[in-house]
Amino acid sequence: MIRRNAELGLIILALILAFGAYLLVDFAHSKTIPAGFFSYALAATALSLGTHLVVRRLAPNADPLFLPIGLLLSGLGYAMVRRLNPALGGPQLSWILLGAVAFVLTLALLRDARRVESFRYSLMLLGLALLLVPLAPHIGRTVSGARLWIRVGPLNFQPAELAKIFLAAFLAGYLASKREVLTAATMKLGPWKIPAPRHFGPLILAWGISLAVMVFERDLGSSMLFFALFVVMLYAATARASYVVTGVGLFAGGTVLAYHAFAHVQGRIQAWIDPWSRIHTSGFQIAQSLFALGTGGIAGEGLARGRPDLIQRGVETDFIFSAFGEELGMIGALALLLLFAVLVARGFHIALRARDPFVTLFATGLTFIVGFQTFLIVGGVTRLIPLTGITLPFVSYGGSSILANFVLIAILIRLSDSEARTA
Amino acid sequence: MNKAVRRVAFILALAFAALVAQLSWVQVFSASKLAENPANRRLLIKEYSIARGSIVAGDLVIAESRKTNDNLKYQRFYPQKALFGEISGYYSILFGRYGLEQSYNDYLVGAGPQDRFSAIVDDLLGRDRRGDSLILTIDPALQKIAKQKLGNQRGAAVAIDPETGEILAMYASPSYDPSALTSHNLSTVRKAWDKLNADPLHPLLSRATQQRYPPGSTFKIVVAAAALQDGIKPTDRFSNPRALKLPLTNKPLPNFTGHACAGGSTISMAIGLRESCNTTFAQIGMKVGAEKLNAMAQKFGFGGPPDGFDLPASPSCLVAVPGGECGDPRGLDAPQTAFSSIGQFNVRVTPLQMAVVAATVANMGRVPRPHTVREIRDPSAKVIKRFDDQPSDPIYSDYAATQLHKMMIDVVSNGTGRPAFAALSSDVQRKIRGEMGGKTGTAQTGVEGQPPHVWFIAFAPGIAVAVVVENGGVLADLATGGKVAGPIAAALIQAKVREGKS
Repeated sequence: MIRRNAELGLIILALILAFGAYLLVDFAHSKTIPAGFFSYALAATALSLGTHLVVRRLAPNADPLFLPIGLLLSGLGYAMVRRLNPALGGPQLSWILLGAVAFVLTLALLRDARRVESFRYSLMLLGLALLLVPLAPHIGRTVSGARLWIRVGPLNFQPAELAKIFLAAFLAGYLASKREVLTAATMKLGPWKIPAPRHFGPLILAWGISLAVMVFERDLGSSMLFFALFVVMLYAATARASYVVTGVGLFAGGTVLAYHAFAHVQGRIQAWIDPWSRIHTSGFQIAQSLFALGTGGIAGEGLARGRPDLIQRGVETDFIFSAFGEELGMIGALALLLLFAVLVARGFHIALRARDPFVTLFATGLTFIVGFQTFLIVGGVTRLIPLTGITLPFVSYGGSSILANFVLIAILIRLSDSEARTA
Repeated sequence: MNKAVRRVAFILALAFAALVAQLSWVQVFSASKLAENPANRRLLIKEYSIARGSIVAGDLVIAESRKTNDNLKYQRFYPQKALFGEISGYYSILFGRYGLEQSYNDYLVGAGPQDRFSAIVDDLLGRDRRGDSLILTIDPALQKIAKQKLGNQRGAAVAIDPETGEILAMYASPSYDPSALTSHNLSTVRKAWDKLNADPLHPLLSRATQQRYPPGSTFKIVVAAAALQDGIKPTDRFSNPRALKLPLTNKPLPNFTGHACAGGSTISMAIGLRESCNTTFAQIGMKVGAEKLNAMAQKFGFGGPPDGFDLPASPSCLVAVPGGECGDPRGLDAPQTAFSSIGQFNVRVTPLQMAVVAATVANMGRVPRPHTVREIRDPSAKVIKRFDDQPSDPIYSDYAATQLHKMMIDVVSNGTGRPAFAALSSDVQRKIRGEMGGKTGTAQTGVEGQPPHVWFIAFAPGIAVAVVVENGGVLADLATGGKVAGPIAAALIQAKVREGKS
């Protein structure tokens, strides 16, 4: 129970920080406590304590860091989304509540993580379907050039967000059972021993699918994430560098092809190499993001005292990290990164302590998703790598992202609890 | 398997380390470059979130910032419309700053050297930063008279306090309303700008401080100063032909009237000045020589903008060359020196400089330092900077000072300056009789068929004035400096004398 008490303490800390952020946003422009604060505080407290009690009951031995970090990130994200666009505050809060419900349901329904293994092929089909469903006519929607949304009734949903979890589950199950075969080196290529070519089949398939996502949905972020997830899990399962080499080779080849074939890929890469000479066109957003970060400097302009709205399109989603960088400075931005780093470290901790290969692989996959996604978007908005639009987990505005990431940490909590119990 | 997972974790750790490195690069090492990049609109927004200080003259508000509802918090307004256009300049999101808005920008945004503390307090309290206000030396009554008297004529009038160098009036006609350029709507500003630039009367031209005119006979004051300093006495006599034959050329130098000047076959320097006799001053100028003329002109402030002047100003030159600079006077031959001595050839001056010349004579040879701002006040109205410049040491001898002063008064009392004195009302005439000096000028523009520019420079107790009216103003070819520019100068002097501050 020490772990649960630690979790409770951290959650209280997270709440204090989230409330502070909420109030600072309003204090920047008025001197009174905003009317909505108390109902928000009540809802947030209920949500946090509720999820905590569920963990206490359903996963008492789980790692105490996942839930507080998830809550803190979503609390800070909510404050920033509301600050950037008050109209989006309500929906974002509703999605966080729904995310908490999904978190509880996941913990309640998934009592034994290893049962997932037996559904692996259904999960693969579900994952692929989700990844590709935006291409379907009528329900698929194109938002700012990328066709990665579907519309169900009044709701817009980005299915790729959930797809990544299903695919990680499938890969963990598939690789856990096939890893011996995939590891066995039966062929010789020069000085190297490599697995038989047919075992590269799935790799080629994954590559093809991610290319399809990039080409037809123009969703560079999901495409990269999916392909990297595949390669990393294959490597984790087999420890064979040849998969990584092949994967990187395919990726490089794919990038060169895509660069020459598709204007949107070309635009992203040119904007990365030199945003300044195309500051009014393709380089606009990245330049604006750098202006925001540079203006923020070390200490930041103060919450709600900067002008991240000048980034214009995508500031609540892809560029929310730049908004934090401008208003909380490098100190705040590094603190956010640190939260993700701790999340990732705890995830790998589960993977490394687990005795069941499936658990190891599943935890590795889920952790890698959070870490790599953070790298993709933060690297993109800081111009470390070309920008591939993807959400910053828990922080960016968007229902599917919030929902998927709450499910993701619920699974990590489940995995950590079951490993702790069997240990 | 754990080894592979560890490697994956290690790679992600490296990726995060790269993020930290990149973030430090962007937010620390490149931060100021990014923050100050001209394409970063935060700069503009920040500047426009400052309650910029007002510009005030007497009881008139010349420029003030008012709160708006758009995303630039304050907008600049100029309640006096075109009356102070050349002085205030403008503060425009599209065309930047000009005039006093530019020269005192640091103070107006509250970032002057004395403002550090209050800026920090405002920042800490989350208040809009407030700028300092400028209190001008301009006397609104005189400024209005300058505008009214110039009317529809093109030209400029500058009045200065000879002792303190405070500019009392400075108006260029026609002027413009700077409010037209301060809208936050870019296309409105662009349209207003294009319209002002397309105007054939060139309202954006700073005629008082930056436009350079041939000074005509007003330049004889500078020549007389050089002559007196060189040992020529007011009573020294020169030949008095109808037109002066010049060496090296067949083109003679005629008098304005086409006749010989008063006084018989010879004429003294004093009478020559009184009657504005060209042939006399051509001889004097050639006798003194271009180099000494230039040296004296430079002592008056030619060759650069006036010392310490707080608006952009062009240099006045004995030998103006294209590009706005002054050329080498040693290049002048005798006939060129002769024509230069009557303010023609390539002599080019600003009205501001000629006001300084008149003020210097009034001051017995001490050159005032002209300025338009008297003091700067912080947001709590405390004076944080005061401009009380002393005039220079005398630039010529006491003898030259006394004689030149007397000669200029004689021009008004008995010479070509009489129309200006006549324009004064009788009570003012009584008050300053024998104390008002002046010099007329009628300057050929060098453009065939274009009426000459007419000048009058003058001084009276407490005030020195220079007025130029382009192309003779309403009288065109019939105009002389005394008739057209003189009454404008007289009106300014009259207002100043009636205020009784002198």
